[in-house]
Amino acid sequence: MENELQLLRRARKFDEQALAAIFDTYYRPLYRYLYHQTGHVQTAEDLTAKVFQRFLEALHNSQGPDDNLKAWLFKVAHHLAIDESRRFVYRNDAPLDENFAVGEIGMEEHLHVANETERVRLALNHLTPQQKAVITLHFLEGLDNAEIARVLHSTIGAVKALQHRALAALRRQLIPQEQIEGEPNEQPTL
Amino acid sequence: MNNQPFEEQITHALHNVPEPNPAHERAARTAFLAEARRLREHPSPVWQRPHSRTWMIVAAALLIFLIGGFALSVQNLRQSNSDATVQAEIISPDNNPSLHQDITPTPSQGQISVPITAENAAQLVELQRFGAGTVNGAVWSPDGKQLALYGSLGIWFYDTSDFEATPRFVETNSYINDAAYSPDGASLVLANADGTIHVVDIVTGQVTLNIEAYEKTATQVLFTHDGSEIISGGSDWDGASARFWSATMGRERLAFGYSFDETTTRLALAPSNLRIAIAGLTYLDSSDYTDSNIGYGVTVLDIVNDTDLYTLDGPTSSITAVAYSPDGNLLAASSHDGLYLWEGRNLKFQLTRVATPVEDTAFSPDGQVLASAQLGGLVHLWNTTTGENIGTLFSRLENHNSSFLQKVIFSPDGQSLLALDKVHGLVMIWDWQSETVKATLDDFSGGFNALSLASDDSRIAVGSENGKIYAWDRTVESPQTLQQQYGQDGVLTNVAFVPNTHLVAATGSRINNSQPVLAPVTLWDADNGLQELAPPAFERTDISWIWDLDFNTDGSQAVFMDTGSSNFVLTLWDVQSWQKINRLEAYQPNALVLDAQVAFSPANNLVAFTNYERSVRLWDLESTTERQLLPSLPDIIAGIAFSPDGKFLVALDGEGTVQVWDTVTWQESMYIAKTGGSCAITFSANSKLIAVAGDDRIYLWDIQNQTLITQLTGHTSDITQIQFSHDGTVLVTASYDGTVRVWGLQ
Repeated sequence: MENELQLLRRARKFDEQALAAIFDTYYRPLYRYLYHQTGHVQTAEDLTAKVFQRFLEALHNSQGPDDNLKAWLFKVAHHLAIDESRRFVYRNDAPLDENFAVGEIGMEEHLHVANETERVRLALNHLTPQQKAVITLHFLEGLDNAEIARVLHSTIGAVKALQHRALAALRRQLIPQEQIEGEPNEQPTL
Repeated sequence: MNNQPFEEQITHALHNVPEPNPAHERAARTAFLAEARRLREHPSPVWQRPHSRTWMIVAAALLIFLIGGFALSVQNLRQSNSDATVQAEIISPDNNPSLHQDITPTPSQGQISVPITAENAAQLVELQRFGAGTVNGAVWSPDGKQLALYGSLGIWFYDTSDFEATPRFVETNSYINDAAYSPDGASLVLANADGTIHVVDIVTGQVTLNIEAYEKTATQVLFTHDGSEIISGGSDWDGASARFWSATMGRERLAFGYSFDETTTRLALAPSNLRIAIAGLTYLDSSDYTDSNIGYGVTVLDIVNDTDLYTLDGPTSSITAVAYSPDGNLLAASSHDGLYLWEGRNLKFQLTRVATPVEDTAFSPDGQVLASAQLGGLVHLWNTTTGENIGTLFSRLENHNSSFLQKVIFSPDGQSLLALDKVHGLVMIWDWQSETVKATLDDFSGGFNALSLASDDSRIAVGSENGKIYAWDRTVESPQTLQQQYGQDGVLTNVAFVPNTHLVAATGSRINNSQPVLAPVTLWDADNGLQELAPPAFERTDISWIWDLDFNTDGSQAVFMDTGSSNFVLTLWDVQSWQKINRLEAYQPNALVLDAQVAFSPANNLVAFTNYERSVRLWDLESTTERQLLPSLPDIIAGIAFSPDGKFLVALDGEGTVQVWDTVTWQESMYIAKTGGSCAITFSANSKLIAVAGDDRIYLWDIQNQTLITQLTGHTSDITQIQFSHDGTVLVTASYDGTVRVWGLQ
C-alpha cells in the first residue's frame, strides 16, 4: 500500500483507485470494531458502510483526516456506534448479543458454561462503552494510545486509565479470584 | 481461563468474529465508489464542516416516523363529532366580585382565524413572539468602548459611554452559552448550545465562520492572545473536551478530553499562550489511575507539547470558573465550596469562609484584585497579595436567596465591574472602588416555565423561573409587557387564567421580607396592569403548598394539587365561595416533588393527576378515594391532557412516549413515538391533533393517522409549556429561552 498521505491526497480528488484501496484496507477492521461495539452482524455492516459514506461527505466538504486516516475512520465508527446504542436502547430490541445475554441465571453461570471466546466477549459486554472501545481498538486493531486518544477525543492519560480499569475489570471476571489475590499489585500495563 | 497469556486471550477472542456477508460488502463497496463518482462531478461550493447534528436530527425524525408507523391500532380513535366549545358563561359576581369580568373575543391583529388541521399544519409559521429572552453572559470589547451581552436570542451591543441608549441587537437564532472578543475587537466568537461555534463580525453582525464543533453543546469559548486560534469547551455524546481551532478556517488542531465530568468545561488560557488550565473531576495524581485518586482539581496542560504538567487540588465541590492573573503567576478557581488561589503549584489562599457557592471569579487588569460572585447577589473583592477582603458589592437582589450571580468581569480599564444574574435577567455595573452603581440593565426575561391562554385566546400569561408573572394582549399591534413579581423570594409553579375572565391564578410558595406569606394561590388582573387582587379566602388549614391547579370548563370549580403537607392532597373548590367541596388523599407522595400535574376532564366529573411518577391516576370528583391507576409509561410523566371533546386522555413521558386512553373503556388506544427529551403535550381544539414539545422543537401529530405532520423550530432552548388556542387557530409555546411564541397560518 502506498504512503497513506499520498493515498489521502488522491482520495481528496475522488480518485477511484485510491478510494477503493482505502475501502478494501479498512472495511474489515471497521466491521470488526463495530461488531464488537454493537454485537450484531447486520448493524455492524450497515454502520461500516456509513463510515465510508461519512468519509466521502467529509472529503466533499474539504474536511476529513489531514494525516491519520485510520484514527479518523475509527473515530467516526465510534461515534456511529454510540448513536446506534442510543437508538438500540430506545427501540427496546433484543439485548446487545442475544447469544450471550445474561438473564436470570447470572453472570457467573454464563461464564462457566461459555467457551473461552464467548467468555471474553461476555465479559467485554460488561465493560463501559468507553472501556470496551479502548480494549477493542488496542487489542483488535493495534492502535496505540495516542491514536486511541484521537478516536475517543481524550487524553493519553485518560486512555491509559480507561485501559487499566478495563483490564482490571476483565481480570476480575475471567480469572479465578484466588489467582488475582496471588498477583502483585496491578500497575498500568501500557 | 486457559494457560494462554491473559492479553493474548483477549486478542484472540476479539478476532473471532462472524464474517460479514460478502454480498453486503460488495454492495457497500459499489455504492461507495458510485457516490464518490457523483461527488466528484458535484464539487462542494463552499467550505463547511460536516453537519453531524443534522444527520442525527434526520435520523431521529426518520426513527420517529418509522416507529409511528408501527403504532398500535387506533380503532378507538374515531373522529370526534364536534369541535370543542368553550362555555361563554360569566362567573357570578355574587360572592367574589374579583372574578367577574365580561370578555369579548377579539381577533388578533393581522391574523386569519383558520383552525389548524392535519391538512394545513405543515404550513404553520411563527406569527408572534413575546418576551425579551434571557441574558446568559457579558463581555467587554478590548478597548472597553463596547459591552456585548449575549443570551437566548442573540447579542446586545451597548455603548459603554451611554448605557441608557438602546443597544444594537444582532439576532443569532442560537442560545449563546459563552462569547469572547477577538484581540483586535473586530469579531466575537460564540459558543452555542447547539454545539456550534460562530465567529460574528462586529460591524455587520454576519457569521463569518461556522464550526460544527460538538455533538451536544459548546459551553465555553475564547481566543488565544494572538487571535490566531479559538479554544472551546463542550460536550459530545461520549464526553467533554477542549479543542483548538484555526480562527480563520475553523480547522481543528488539538483536543484535550476531560476524563470524567462531562459538565465541567471551565478553561483558562495562560497569558503566555503556552498553557491552559482545565477545571473539573480528574486524577489528582497523574501516576495513580485508581478511582480513589479522582477528585476536583485544575489540570494545567502544556498546549505546545500536548502534555499534562501538574494538577492543583483543593476544591471538594464543583469548580465553576478558573482564571489566570494577567501576569500568569496566579491561578484562581471558584467552587461551590469556596475560592482558591494558587501561585505556581502552591495554594496561596483558600477562601472557604465566603458565602458559598461561588459561581465565578475574575482578576482585575492589574492583577491586584480578585472578584468573586456569590450566592445572595454579592460580589466580594479580594487583595491577591494578602488574601484580605477589601470590599463587597451588593446587587439589587441582595439577600435574595434565589439570586445567583453567574458572571463577574472587570472592564479593560479596571474601573468598572460587571455582575450578571441570568435567572433574574439582571446585569449590574459598578464603579467598584467607590462602590457606586453605574448602570443596571434589567430588560431581560428569565426562562418561562408556565403558560396559560385566556378563554377568548386574547391574553397570554406566563410564569418565569425567577418568580415573575408576565402577561400580554396578543390582539394589539405592539402589546405592552405586563410583569409582576410573584413574591420576593417565591417559587412560581404555575399560572392559569380563570375561565371566561382575564384574571390569572398563580400557584407556588411566596416569601416577602423574609416572612412566608401563606398565599399559595394568588390572583392577578391582566386587564389592569397585572395588578394583584385579594387572594382567595381559603381557610388557612386547608392548603399549604400548591404545585398545580386546573379549572373546570366553566370556571366554577378548581382543583388544587397540594404537595406541601405531609400527605399528598387533591382538593376541589367552589370558585365563588372558595369553600372546599371535596378532598382526596390519594397516596403517599414522592419525597421530591418535581412535576406534579392535574387536569380536569371536559365533562367536569373527573380529574387526572400524576406526581412525578410513571403512572396517571384518576379521581371521580364525587368520591373521596382514587378511582384508578392507569398502566405505567416507560419514563416519568411530563404532561397530561384531556382532548377537548373529552374522549381521550393523553400522557407524555420524559422520553417522548405518548399514551392515549379512551376515556370510556380506559383501554390504551395508541402508543406513538419518541421525540427526545419531552415535557409538554396539548390537544388541538378539534381533538384530532396533538402537539408535543421535545427539547426546543414542537412535533405535531395527526392522532388518527398516527403520522408526524411537521416539526416547528425556532426556540433556542427547551420548550416548557405548550397550548392550542381554544378556537384552534394557533399554538402557543413557552420556553426557557425567555420567549413565548405563537404559531399559526400566515
